[in-house]
Amino acid sequence: MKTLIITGFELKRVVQKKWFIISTILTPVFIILYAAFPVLIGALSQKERTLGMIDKTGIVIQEFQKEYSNSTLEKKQKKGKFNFDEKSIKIKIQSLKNIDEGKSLIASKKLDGILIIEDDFFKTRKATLYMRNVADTVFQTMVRTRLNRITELYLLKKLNLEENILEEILKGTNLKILKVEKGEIKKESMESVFTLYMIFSMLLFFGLVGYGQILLRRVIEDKRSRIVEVLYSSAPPYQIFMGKLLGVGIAGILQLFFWLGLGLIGYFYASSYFPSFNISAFFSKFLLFLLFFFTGFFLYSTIFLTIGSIVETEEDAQHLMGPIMMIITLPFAISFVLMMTPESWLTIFFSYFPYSAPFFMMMRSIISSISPMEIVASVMLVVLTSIVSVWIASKIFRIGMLHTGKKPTIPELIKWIRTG
Amino acid sequence: MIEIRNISKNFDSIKAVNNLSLEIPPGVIYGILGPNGAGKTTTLRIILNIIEPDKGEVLFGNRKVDLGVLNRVGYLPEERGLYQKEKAIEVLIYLAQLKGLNKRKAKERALELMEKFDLADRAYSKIEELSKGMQQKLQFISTLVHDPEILILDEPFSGLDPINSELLRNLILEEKARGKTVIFSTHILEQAEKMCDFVALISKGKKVVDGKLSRIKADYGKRTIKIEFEGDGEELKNLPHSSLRLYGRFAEIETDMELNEVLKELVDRVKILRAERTEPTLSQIYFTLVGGESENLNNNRI
Repeated sequence: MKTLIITGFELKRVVQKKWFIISTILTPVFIILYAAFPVLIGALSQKERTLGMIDKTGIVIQEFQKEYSNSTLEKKQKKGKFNFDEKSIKIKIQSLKNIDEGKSLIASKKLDGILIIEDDFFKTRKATLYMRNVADTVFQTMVRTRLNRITELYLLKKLNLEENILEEILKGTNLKILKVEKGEIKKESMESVFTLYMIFSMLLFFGLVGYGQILLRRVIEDKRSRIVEVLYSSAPPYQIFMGKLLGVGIAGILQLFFWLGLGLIGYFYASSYFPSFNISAFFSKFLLFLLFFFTGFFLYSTIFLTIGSIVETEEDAQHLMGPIMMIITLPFAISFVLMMTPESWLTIFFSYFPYSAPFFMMMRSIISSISPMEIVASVMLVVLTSIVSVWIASKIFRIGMLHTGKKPTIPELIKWIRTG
Repeated sequence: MIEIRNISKNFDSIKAVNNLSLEIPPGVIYGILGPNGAGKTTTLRIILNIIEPDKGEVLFGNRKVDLGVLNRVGYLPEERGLYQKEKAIEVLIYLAQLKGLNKRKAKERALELMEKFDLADRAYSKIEELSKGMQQKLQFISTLVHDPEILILDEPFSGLDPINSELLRNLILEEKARGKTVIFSTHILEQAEKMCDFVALISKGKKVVDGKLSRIKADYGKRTIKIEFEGDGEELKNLPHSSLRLYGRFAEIETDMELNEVLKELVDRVKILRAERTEPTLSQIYFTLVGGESENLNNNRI
């Protein structure tokens, strides 16, 4: 079987390359960096802020100072009573005489914000915050939450309630979020589910597009160097086509397995740090991922192969790839938006539409429960579309690879499909 | 015997090959000759089953082209290129395997041929690291690596330096001596004339003449007299029953007249420095048969 010889050669051409080895090693590093990014942002946002206040009520500033005095913070820390938005972020309160003093302090970066409370604050509930950096949402949220709290407290105190009742009223709710799948309660949190889908969908997207690009370059090289003529005089075009497709696809799968192995080794060494991580659930998701990667690969690659076989240079290919990349990126991008509504008709539609199905089925199976029948149906659709597109692409490939000169028109392509 | 039967191929409105029939006996060097655009490459591609003819068929000893047949054919396309980023030996092994050799045999043959062409020390170099001349040699090897019975070479001499040109010439003769069939196309008729046993002259997709070279010469060749002279070449015109081609100080006169008679006619017109009777050349035959259609075809490289 000449397909196997071509597959072997193309596979070797991918895996023996320096960039392949580098990308195989670097990708997990980048994934870890991505995962660590929110933590890093969190750490950066926890630096101390200095808030200048002009408080005409005289009450608000006192409460702020009380809240952020060192003794209160320590007490809270001991009790473990931090809300999410306040974690260990400190705010230094500075009383200002007037706004101009504040402005000059902001200019010299000694203040992060100026909070102005008018004397009718408890009636109007209006306050103004001037900020050095209006994008500092953590700081904004903290000030807003604190103001709400102070107002609540102020109003409740008017009722002359007992201290412990007051505390009861103001106690926050601890909402525990658990996932139910197939009638069983899972321990996964929203964050871990999101991270898992992010990793899988990024691997899927960059895998499909990355290996597609490799195929595109391969095909253009074959065509430009005319080695395709030698190949055509040795093997039937569809075997060459399939050989290339499989060779590059298997390289992708090998890379994924390498990462899986790496992940497992990492897991066994560090499993105690991830007590909630469910390895068997992960495995079932990984199998699903492989299934969608491989079927999706055929679907996406045929696009790249077709483009490669009708153009003559990489520049031409890039022109054609522009709009196609936008279409390819769409399912990946909107799957994150539609995560909120995994059961909506739009999400269901996208999970059966072949070009977005790999992403949406992955997403739905991770976010909520999904019946095996649905997976089978969706995979079938992807496979069927793959078969049709492989068939069409191989026809275009057969003629396109020998075609030189101007790019074919749509009617010409249709003619190729009919006669190829 | 390779039989090409009434093949036609159109590209849009252009008739690249028009009802062409050829018979290529085994063990010969067969030249497919004609100017650029005559349909040579298309004909070769049809023989190799790279493209299908609209009409007609190609038979290899009564057998239609299939993979078994193609495994016995080695092909050198006109525009050449190999996988630049790969190692020379690996590309050769790959191409040999595609022609049905097993890996061990493929490697053995590849190394043997690289040795023969002084490339053995570059076997494990990437192709892009080889000089142009070395890459050309590598391309010859890739055509021969599976020891094919039939070699099909499209404009094999184009772009070669004199050393590789000579190398290729010897290679073709050597393969013929080993009983192989060599089919090559060229627009340089002089080259074909020196090497081919059989030729087919084609023009605009149609056959002009084909057959054994010596026979074609005997049938179609007019006798030619070459002279070197001093004086006005225009004076040589109007010789009875003759045609004239002028090359500055030289002239070729095709005529049935005896050399003596011609000299008698010309001696008063110009000063004759040298005169000889020569065999008709292929290009002369081509000119005679095709006439003005073959303006881009002459003794010099185009």
